[in-house]
Amino acid sequence: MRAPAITAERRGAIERLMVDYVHAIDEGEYERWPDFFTEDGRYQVTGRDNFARGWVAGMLLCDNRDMMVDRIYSLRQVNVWEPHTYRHVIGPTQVLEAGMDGSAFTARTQTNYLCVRTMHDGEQKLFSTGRYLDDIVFEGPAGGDVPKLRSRMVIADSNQIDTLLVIPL
Amino acid sequence: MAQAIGVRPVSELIRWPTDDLSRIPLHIYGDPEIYAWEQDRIFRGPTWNFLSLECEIPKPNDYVLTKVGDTPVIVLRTAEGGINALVNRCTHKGSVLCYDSRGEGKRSFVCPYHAWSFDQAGELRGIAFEKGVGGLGGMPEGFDKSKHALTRLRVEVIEGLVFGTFSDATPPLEQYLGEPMVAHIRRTIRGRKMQIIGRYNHIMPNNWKLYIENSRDTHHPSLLHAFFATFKLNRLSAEGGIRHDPANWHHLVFAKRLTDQGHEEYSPGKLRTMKADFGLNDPSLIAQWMEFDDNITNALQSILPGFVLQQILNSVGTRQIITRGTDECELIWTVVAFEEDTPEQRAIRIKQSNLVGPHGYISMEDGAIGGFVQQGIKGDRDKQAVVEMGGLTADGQPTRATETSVRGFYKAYRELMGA
Repeated sequence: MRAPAITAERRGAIERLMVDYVHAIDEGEYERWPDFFTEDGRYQVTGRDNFARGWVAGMLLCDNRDMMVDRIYSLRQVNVWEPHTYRHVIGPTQVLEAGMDGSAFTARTQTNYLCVRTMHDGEQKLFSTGRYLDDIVFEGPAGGDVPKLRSRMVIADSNQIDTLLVIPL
Repeated sequence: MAQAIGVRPVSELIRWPTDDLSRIPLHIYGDPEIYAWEQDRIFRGPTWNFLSLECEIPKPNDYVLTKVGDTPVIVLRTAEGGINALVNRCTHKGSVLCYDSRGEGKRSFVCPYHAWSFDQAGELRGIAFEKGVGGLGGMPEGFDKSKHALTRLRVEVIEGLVFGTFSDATPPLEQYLGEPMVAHIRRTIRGRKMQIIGRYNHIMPNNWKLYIENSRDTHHPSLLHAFFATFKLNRLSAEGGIRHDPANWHHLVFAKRLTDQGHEEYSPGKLRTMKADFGLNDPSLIAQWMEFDDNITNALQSILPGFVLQQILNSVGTRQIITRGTDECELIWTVVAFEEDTPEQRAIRIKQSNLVGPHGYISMEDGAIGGFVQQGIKGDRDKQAVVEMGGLTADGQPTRATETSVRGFYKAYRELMGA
């Protein structure tokens, strides 16, 4: 793997994407979640063991933005769940690869996360830890300046989910 | 007997409120003494427990770990190609022999503690320093290794599903399942070669029986799961029904989505779960192909004690209950594809895994609802649940607006528990 060539501006934009993503979820602004992705963006949660074994039917799979919008509508209006929120803490983002896809700048990155779940009565539990394996593309003219997730694979360290997974990680 | 030691007799622990099957005493969901009896009389009693899929141990000397109730079990493929199941407990001090969830090339099982070694049939083959050192110590002359084999389960396989039983009294698997259950298992798998495409370990905040009841509760899907009702995937107004084995221990509930004629109860505004304004931006999620000639689009087959074979549209898979004390259990979901699937069919199965599991559009509520019951009954151990819809008995009924399958579970439960 060659050393990723990436400007400080682009690196800064990727870091802002990472931070903005978890704040949107942790503050309950779920409707903003699909906007972090490209139109044909893919989002999947899987367990480390599933991932290692090539078991592709992970938990929560959206292969376009419409499916993400459906998930959020369902979370708000359809599914029954005990109210709770997440708090993510993310580590520094490692750029694995950077390059051009046609005229668009792209990067592959990974970022560790830790997510604590707080129930409506105050009970807190370590809900999930793992890493985001991301494929990022910069949208906009001249190589683009707005980074979007073309793919986010959430690889949870544990294959166990307590009670249910309704809010995206 | 294995776990219920120093525990009061079942007859002192459980008082059924009525002679019929229509009432369930709530204290059975939280009593550790009853839990101990369940381990002995149900999971280690005359029942067949799902152990694993045959495709998880494809080669000679492969193994996987599983549990039957609380008991850790090794499921292995022998060098000769057979399948054995052994309790994962060294007969010396009780340590587990295997502590990695799966492995290959395993011809013997050597305890990490004092290196007692066992063969694939569970026979004790070697004891480290059996003869002592320099003529001193070691095992006594008369120590009989053949009396210290691992506990071995009887194993039978149907359509790639591996079952095991602890009891000599359990009838052969197909007889235990009964003809209608065998027929439906064969109809669902049809001899096709399974490939696992995903596994979800769903921790549920409730007693194991509450999930088993839920899987047999045929009138809750369209009431609890709005997704089912709204998309007319599994409403009571579709053609469907319940089948069971002659003993009423196992149940199959099914629906045919395309036959839904509607019902007044599902009119807009009457039920929370009918969302007239909910449409999917991406309806490809529920696009399916007719995989089965019987046009059944939704089938849940519950095999006592803790196994479910699932078909939700084209999502085919297994669910296995593992007990975790009185107030918690684990449901292991395994979704599969088949070797003969076209790439398009495989893609549909992968997409429909969004419907099931802890994240599933139509199953996440089952994780929540068991917890709601477990919370609700905390202060009322003397009260009882009412399961009277469809009558007081556990017979097969041509409707799903009934709780007959839940009563069927408690009929079996009472027979097994002897109370």
